[in-house]
Amino acid sequence: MDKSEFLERLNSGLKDLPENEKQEITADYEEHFAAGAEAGRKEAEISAALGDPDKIGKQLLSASLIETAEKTGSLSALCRAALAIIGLGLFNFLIALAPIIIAASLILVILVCGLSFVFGGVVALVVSLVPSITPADMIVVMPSDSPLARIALSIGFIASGLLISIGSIYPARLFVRAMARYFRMNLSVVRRAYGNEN
Amino acid sequence: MNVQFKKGVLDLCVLSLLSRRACYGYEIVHEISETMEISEGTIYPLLRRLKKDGHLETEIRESTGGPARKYYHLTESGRDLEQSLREEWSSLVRRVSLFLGDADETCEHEPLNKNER
Amino acid sequence: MRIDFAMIEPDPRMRWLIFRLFVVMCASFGAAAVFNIIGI
Repeated sequence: MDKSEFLERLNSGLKDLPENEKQEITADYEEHFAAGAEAGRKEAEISAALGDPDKIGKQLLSASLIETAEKTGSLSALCRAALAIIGLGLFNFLIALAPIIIAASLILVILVCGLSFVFGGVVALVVSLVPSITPADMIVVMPSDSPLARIALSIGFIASGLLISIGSIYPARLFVRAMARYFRMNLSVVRRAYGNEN
Repeated sequence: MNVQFKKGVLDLCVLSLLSRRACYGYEIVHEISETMEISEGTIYPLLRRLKKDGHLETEIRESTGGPARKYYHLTESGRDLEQSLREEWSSLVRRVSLFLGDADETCEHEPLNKNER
Repeated sequence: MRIDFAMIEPDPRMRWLIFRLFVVMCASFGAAAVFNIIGI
């Protein structure tokens, strides 16, 4: 493998990284090739000593994605980091994904709960505004018979549903950050114990 | 196990090398690969990680005749990390040597090369 | 993995929206209680 092939394969693994980071990494390896050439080594020799560019790419990618997830609380960065780590074989599939799935479903529960509040509120509002469109087999049970109170209650329901839905974002972001930190700590433990490569 | 064990102390080797003098990437890789058999490419992710964690800083220096090079040097926290890793390492070596029944001081540097694969 | 709802930052507009929703919620529940008591 010559220099351009090595860099190309490395770069193809780094597609998801921000442009400036990609350039920095490429520059590092280019400098390495240049210094090696100066020391009288052949390109093929240098790239063979460097190792598998796909593996190096995954290593760099997972580190960067974990950092992004920790900073921004981005769920997609966290998931891609988990996939890269699993691809490296450093992490058991279940260890990496189980907490993500559990927390994602808890957050989804909050979201669905909020959305059902909104839906229920909308239905109640329509029924209170235009009682005539109520289907014959639908029984309206609301804690008040006064139409104004019913309308106000429905609007309150919609607003509280929206609040609950929006509220689910906050624990979600908190969780993504915590998971990113968990990955980073685990990775450094794994690195200590089993080395950087395997 | 030995190969993995070797790589576990890679951080310490890099930090210790940089505590003596600032180096550029190829130099670090070259020096480390003289004592340990490693995939040289893995040094760069390690350097990036140490830099992101604030243990290293880099500067671009013009070299005589060649292209500019990125030099790495330790920060204050890098020195602290080097110290603590060094202490961890020597206490581990001491205890293992005692356990193996030869408290010979030269063991401190031998196991790395002797037990390769 | 394009669903990135966790990316939404709590920027001032978001806080403003939450605040307004909260006010609307309290006002409507309050109004509902009052209307219920008066009976209109």
